[in-house]
Parts: sequence; structure tokens; C-alpha cells
Amino acid sequence: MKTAPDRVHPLWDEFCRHLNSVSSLVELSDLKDKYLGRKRGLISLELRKLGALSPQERPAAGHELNELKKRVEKLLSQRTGEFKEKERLRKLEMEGIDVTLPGYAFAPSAIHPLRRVWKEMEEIFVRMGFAVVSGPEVESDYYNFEALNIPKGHPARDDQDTLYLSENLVLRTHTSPVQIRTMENQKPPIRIIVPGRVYRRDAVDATHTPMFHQIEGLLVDEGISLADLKGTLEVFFKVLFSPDTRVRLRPSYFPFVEPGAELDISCIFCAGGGCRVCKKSGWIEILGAGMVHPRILERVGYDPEKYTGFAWGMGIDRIALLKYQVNDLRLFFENDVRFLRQF
Amino acid sequence: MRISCPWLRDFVDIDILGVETTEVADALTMVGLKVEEIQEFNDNYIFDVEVTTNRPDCLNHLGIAREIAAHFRLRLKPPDFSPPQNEEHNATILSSSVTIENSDLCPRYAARVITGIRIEESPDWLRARLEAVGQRPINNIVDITNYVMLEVGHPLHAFDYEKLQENRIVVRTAKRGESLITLDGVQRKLDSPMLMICDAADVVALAGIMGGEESEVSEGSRSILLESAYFNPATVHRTAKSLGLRTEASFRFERGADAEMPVKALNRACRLIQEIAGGTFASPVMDEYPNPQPQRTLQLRSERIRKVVGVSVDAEFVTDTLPRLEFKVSHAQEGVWEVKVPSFRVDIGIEDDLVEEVARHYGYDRIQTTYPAPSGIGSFLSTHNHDRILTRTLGRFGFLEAFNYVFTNPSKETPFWNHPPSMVAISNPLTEEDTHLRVSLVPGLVEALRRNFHRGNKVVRLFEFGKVFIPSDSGDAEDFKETPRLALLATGEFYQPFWNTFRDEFHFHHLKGIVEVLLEELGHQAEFEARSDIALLHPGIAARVLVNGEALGVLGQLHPRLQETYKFLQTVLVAELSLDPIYRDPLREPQYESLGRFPSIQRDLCFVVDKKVEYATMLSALRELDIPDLQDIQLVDLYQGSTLPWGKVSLAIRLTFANPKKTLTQEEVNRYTDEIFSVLKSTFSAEARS
Repeated sequence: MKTAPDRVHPLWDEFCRHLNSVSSLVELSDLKDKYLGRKRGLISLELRKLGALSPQERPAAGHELNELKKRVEKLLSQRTGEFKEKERLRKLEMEGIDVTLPGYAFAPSAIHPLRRVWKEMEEIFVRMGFAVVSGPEVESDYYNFEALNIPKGHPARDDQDTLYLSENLVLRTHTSPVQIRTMENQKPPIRIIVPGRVYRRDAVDATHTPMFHQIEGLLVDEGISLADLKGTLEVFFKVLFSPDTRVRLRPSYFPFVEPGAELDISCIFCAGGGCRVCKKSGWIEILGAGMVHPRILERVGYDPEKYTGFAWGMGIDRIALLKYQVNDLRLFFENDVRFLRQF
Repeated sequence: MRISCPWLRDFVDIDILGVETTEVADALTMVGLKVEEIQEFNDNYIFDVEVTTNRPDCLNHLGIAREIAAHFRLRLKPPDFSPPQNEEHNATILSSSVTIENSDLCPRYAARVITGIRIEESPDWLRARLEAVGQRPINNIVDITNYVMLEVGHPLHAFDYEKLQENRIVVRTAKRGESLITLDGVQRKLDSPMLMICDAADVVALAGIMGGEESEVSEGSRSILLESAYFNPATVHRTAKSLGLRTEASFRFERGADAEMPVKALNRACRLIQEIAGGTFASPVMDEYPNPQPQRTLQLRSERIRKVVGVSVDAEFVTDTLPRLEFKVSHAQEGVWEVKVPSFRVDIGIEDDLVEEVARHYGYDRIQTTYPAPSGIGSFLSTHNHDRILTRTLGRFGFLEAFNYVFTNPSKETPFWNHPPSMVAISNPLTEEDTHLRVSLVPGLVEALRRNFHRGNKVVRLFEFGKVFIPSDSGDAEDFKETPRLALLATGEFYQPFWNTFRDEFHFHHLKGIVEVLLEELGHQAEFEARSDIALLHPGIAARVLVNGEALGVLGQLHPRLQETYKFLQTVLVAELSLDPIYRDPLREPQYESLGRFPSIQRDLCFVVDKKVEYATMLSALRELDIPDLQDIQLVDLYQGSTLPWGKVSLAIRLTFANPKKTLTQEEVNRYTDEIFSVLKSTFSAEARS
């Protein structure tokens, strides 16, 4: 069917004029009623008049009116969208807050710096295949001294001034007794670390506390040498401090190892160039170590010709001092919340 | 040990090396004699050497020079130990003798009498050498004995010959009741096991430790008896320790002097005396050495070196190095040497000691690092995860971890327990503060809180993991339990300071909630029981914590009495839990429970009840109803105030009902609710409140 050519209905211009003067959603709704209202809407009224037209006139007029209605509806909905968007923007703007106000300060939490470095060290050694074991803080004289080649009268007993509970019982002066306890109950291979609390009869100052913490290590197997000790601890310190860290093994003496050694690490502050911390030497003394004394292996029933092993003991507190650049050991035991919060 | 570089040059020509002094110091450090510091003294360098307790042979210049010479492959030039020249005895030989009564304590005693000496100030060179290493010059004779000690390591002592009764020496143990005024002017009470140097009648010196004032060489002395002995290390150690007297001599003897040195050192001193103080030898060298110590011989296998050190060291290196350290090496068989140990090396007793000698001079820094082959998987302690969960949970609530000393004392503890508690005592405490071991972690945390308040920290939340030491009832000092605990302390604002929130003080139920969560995280349901008999807690704000009926610890507000003692202005909450029962149970994996497909229905009940009625009692009465569809009871409101009759409290509880198989009807829920309320009404006289 052919349709009559499009002709703009006179109401169109009028509607467009009205629409341009509309300034709110409410006015827009009124305008909609005025033209499209079911009963009194101008276009609705026109549509109703169609029935009065002749069948020849009706299709063209009907088409014209329907086109008009569509265009009006489209414009109205378009304009409604515009007004809604404007409204939304105004609302969003009103809802704005000062994002620079402080956020809720959730209570900080922290583990103790000594625990922090203790756990970090534990994790590295566990990754290297060591098992963590523990032992009592109150030890017998036997495990703390005798079994470690430190009989009564040995000068090493003076070096470690000991807190005694009775003639037989001491607050352990090192974590080394757990070496003996472990070897007595296990066959090689042994690969353990022993973190824990130790005690000495020392007056409190910036570099001494009567209670401190150590990590003991022990590895016993066939074919273990001083070179393995060096390699193992080198890997450990590279992970703990940085891949650039170098280690240096020096001869030293501890009654329960032979050969004995001390291990230095390249100064973490000056990278070996020489500073106040390393006393210009470029090296920081970090632990005592050595090959497990054959007499100790014999004492626990190992054949020292078959098995060799190495052991070390390092101070957790000292490493925490270095790592967190704390300058006074006493801070670790004062429990000032301003200090604890930093870790 | 202070070591002077010019003095070292007497024995080893370090200048020939053309190296810096620091290089010599580094070399010493790397052979195990750590140079702590290089000091300058009158244009000369002084090394401060840390000599380990096993190396008494290095507590002198000759010993240090030997190590340097061995390291740099230089020749060691020891001092002249031969008897002095021109020692034709004078016509007036003075009589003397040495008697050793305890040859196990004093294996060797050498002495010589010199007469006609001039006691005066030492010559400048001698004074300068002593001063450079920190030794105060006294007079020529005393200075010479000190000089020889610092030079070759052997302590000597000079007696005024004329002060010795019958001019003779007896080495014996002290008799009960004897005493001696030592050179430092102190009267020493002696006891029977102590070894003494005596004349015919009295004690004149503490063997190997210090001489007596009476027989001291002084300006008026004309003749001396010069002692050069070897004492048993243990006896010197014991006596020095029990007298609380440590000297340069005792320090060397207790670590182990050289039994073959006495006569050599005596000769060396006599030469110096002849040169500096004049005089004539009035007796031969008297050398009592009843049982000469045999020379130790050890085997050294090159295979053992490789095994222990992890490197193959050339045989030539071994046979060159050990003799430089004065070991005598002979080839026994292929790869095995027989090594004779010099008498001054008291530290060498087994083959591995020789391995160390080789390794030290080979250089630990030349050892190529290797890695041990893996031998199993690493593992944490069985308590690791428990601790990790507890720590992490406490972190959520803003708790900081504290570390306290385990030491305490009765007067510090008494306020906490109303009476001095039974505690493990330290038998040799360093201070009066730290005499006992703690029985609870709470006093330490309270002390830490006091420090924090002093420094203006008002909001404090601390926790501590640590051992306590609980004595048993047996009264036996060695009978006690070392057991791990966890303690919590909290005080101050509950909420962090904020511009948009409530204010609330940290109170009992906050801490209770935290304890509940802590235990829940480990798979336990905590129960609480009101207790008014916990000494350190407020009798009305205290509870015992139980898990499966087992007491785990306590929780509550610090007793007002303690609050007053510590002058705290804020209420303080504390809890302490035993960890052993918690560690005993392994952590369980969570097990999924069906969420239920049917909706739950909630009903709120509001009622007024007497304040004395415990919530937990009501709760268990409701649970006893055994309504399977009753899933949860929650307290959502509690009010006690002026609109209520005195002694009454208004509660609102929220009941949640659900059934896994069907949707509950309103009628069912109403019936349950009515049933619940009627129990509250009949058992607890609850009155409904809208």
C-alpha cells in the first residue's frame, strides 16, 4: 500500500516549542499528559477524530498522526533521559565526601622483633631441609656442660657465667644441650635447628641482657665437612640479608667442636668498605661454629670415623639489632608499645 | 692480650715482608688469633689480640710470633734460654732447697738464689715495653719476672731470700686456719685443698696466683729466690675462684702453662737480672721434677684432613707447616704421619686437633664452599601452627607481642598472690631483683604496663608467650614443671581514636570475646565459670576458662588492690592460659556442614529478669529443652537502668529456627517460642517486655 507523502502535522511545531521551554522532569511529565494523555491529550483527541473521516482520507491522516505520536514519544523519552542524568549527577555531587579525612585507624598489631627475626630464620632453615626442635630452658649440668666437653673447672665455664638453680640444674647458657638430647635419641642423618631462650649471669646494659635467644644448628651425616658448613651458612645469610652478602670463616675455639670456627659476614651497612658498626674491618662477627667434636659423637654412640657433622650457634638478638638497626638490646625487653608497633 | 709490634720483631723479622701492619694483624685474625684492635702507642703499634681459652701458649709475644712466622714462612728466633754465662759460683754459696709435697698439684718447681742484687728502677727500654702492653713497672726484679711472662708466657715469682725461714721452699696444701696477707694487702683465709708455697714454717705465696706481702722483694732486698714452677691447672683455677682473686699468673696457669718451660724461663730471667740488676748466682738451678711429663704423639691421616675440612691439602704443606709450629712430624706410612706435640700446646689431644692446625694455616678462607646432600624434608615444631594461629588472631585485635624476663622476686610477686608464692630460686642471682623464676606471665605484663603508663601510652594491648616454672608440692628444689603459657593484657579505649565512632573502654566481655575466638580458631569451644577466688583478679569480674571441662586459665579485671599498688587510673583486663592442653590436640581440618536449603526464621524475645540470674544458666536451661530446630540463641540487647525496678535487667534474645528438611511454619515457630518463654518465666521469673 502506498502511503501519503509525509507532511508535518501542525501540532509538531507547537510541541517542539513547548518542549524547549521545559526545565524539569515534572514539567516534562505535564507536557506528556498534554499531548499524549489518554483522555485529553491533544494527539489522542486528534486520533479519536479519525473515525469521522472518510475511508479514503483515513489512512493518510492516520499515518500522519501515528508518525507524529512516535516522534513526540521519542523526543519525550530522550529528554526524560537527559533530565534523569542531570538529576543523578546533581545527586552524586551532593553525596561527595572529603576523602582526605583520616581512614579508620584499625589497631595495629605486631609480633615482637625478636620473634620476627626468629621466625624468618626458622623458615629459611626449614626450606633448607632442617627440622626445628626444642629443649628445656632449665638444663642439667650434664647436658649444658659435661656432655659438651666442658667439665667442672674448664675456663669456658667462666666465659659463660651461669645462673644455677641447684648444683645440678642451670638455666641453659646456650641451645647446644639440645644437640646432645637429639643425637641421643636419633640416628644420623641429623639436620636440626634449635631456636630458644638462653641465660647468662650478665648485668643489663646496651649490649648484654641476662636472657637472650639463640638458634643452634646441627647437621650430622656421612661425608660432612667444614666446607659444607661454610656453604650452608653462606646460603642462609644470602637469603637473610642479601644476595651480595659474603661470609668469612675464621679459626676459633669452642670445646664441643673441632676444628672450631667463627663466621663473619660482610658488613651489611658498608658492604665491606668499613664503617662504625664493623669497626672499619668490613666484617661483622656473627656466630660460632665448627665440626662436632669426635668425642661428642662417640658419647652419643656415633662412629666418628663414619659420621662427621657441623654445628653452630648464633644470637637472634644480635641479628635483630643488625637487621632493624636497633642500638640498644634493652629496648627488646621494655615492651614500650611505641617500639613494638614498629615491627 | 696486648701484643707490641717492636717486641714481636725480637722473634720474627716482619719487616722483611714489606707489608703493612694491618696485614700482619689480618693474618693473625685468620689463623684464629683475632686482632680486635690496632692501637698506636708512642709511635708503635699494639695489637689487642683475643686469645681463646685453649691457647695459653699465645698469651705472650713468643707464641704470637710463632704463629706469624709460620703463616708467612719466616724463621722464628726464640730468646736465648741457655744458662747465663760467667756463672762461676761465688765462694759464699747460699744454702737452699725445694721440697714438693703434692707433686700431682705441683709437678715441677725450679728455683735459683741470686745474691748481691741492686733493687732499683728498671732501665727505660724495659719500662717502655711493659708500659706499652699495659703493665705498670715496679722495680727491676719484679719487672723482669713480668717481662719474661709476657715474653715467653711463663709466670715467675721472686721472694726475698732472707725472709724465707730456713731459706727453703716447701710446696704443700694449706692447713686449716692458716692465712696469708697477699701482695695486694688483703688477708686471705686459706683452706686445706689450696696449694701453697711455704718456707720452713709459714705460707709465703698462693701457688701460681700471688705472693705474700711478707716475703715481697723490696728496696732493702739483697738476695732473692726466683721461682719458676709448673702448677696443675685445676688446682690454680679452684683456689683463684674460691678466693675471688684472678691474676696474670693464675690466668696462665689455669689455662695450662708449659711444663718444659720452668728452667728455660728461669735462665732467661737470670740473664736479664745479671744484665740489669747485677748480683751473683748463689745456688745452682734447683729443679724438682719428679715425674717428667711424657711427650704426646698423635697420628695424622691426610684422608682425615680431607674428610673433616673438605679439601685435599698437599702433603708438603702439612710437613712444612706443622714443624713451623714446633710439632715433630715423621712419615709413618702412606698418607699417615706420626706427630709429636710440643709441650706448650696443651690444647692438642686428638687427631682432629692436628687437622685444625693444618686447616688454620692452610686458611679457612681458602676452603671452597660445598653443600651437603639433601637428607629429608624440613619441618617446624608441632606447636608451630598453633602459635601462628594464636599470634595472627591476636594481631587482628591489635595486640602487640611482649618479651619479658623470666626473673622475678618474692616482694614483686606478693601483691599478686596475697602471700609469697612458692617459686624456683636461683642459687647465685646477680641482683636482688632477679632471684626467682616466674610462676605467671601476668606480673611481667603488669610491670610492662606500668612502664608504658609512665611514658604516656594509655592504650595498651600486650600478649606474651613464655615459660613459667611451677614448683611441685614436694618442696624439692629440683622438682618443678617448666610449662608454656600465653597471657594477654589490655587497657584503654576499645576503639581507635576516630572522628565518627563510639567510645568504649576495653572491658571484660571484649577480652572474653577475644579468648573465645582464640580458642575457636584452634577448634575449641571455651566455657567460662565465674570465680571470686583468683587473687590477682577482681572477685566480681573474674572467670575461669575451660575447654571440655579442663581448666585452661583465668580471665578478668585486675584486682583493685593491685590497681592501687601500681597507681593505675584505668581498669586493666588480663588473661592467662596454659598452652600444653592446647598443644596436645593436633589442629583439625575444617569439616563442611550443609548450609540448609530451607530458610531460617528468627524471633526476638524481650524480657525482664533478676540481675542475679546468670545468662549462662538461662542458656543451658533453654538448651535442655532440646528443640532440634532451635539453631541459635543470640543476646542482642541488655539494658539496666532507671526505667527498670532496682536489681532487674532487661534482655533481648534472638532465636533462630531452621529445619534441614522443610520450611518451618509460623505455627511451629510460635509454639517453640512460647515453650521457650514459659521456661524463662517459670524457672527464672522472667516477665515479658515489649
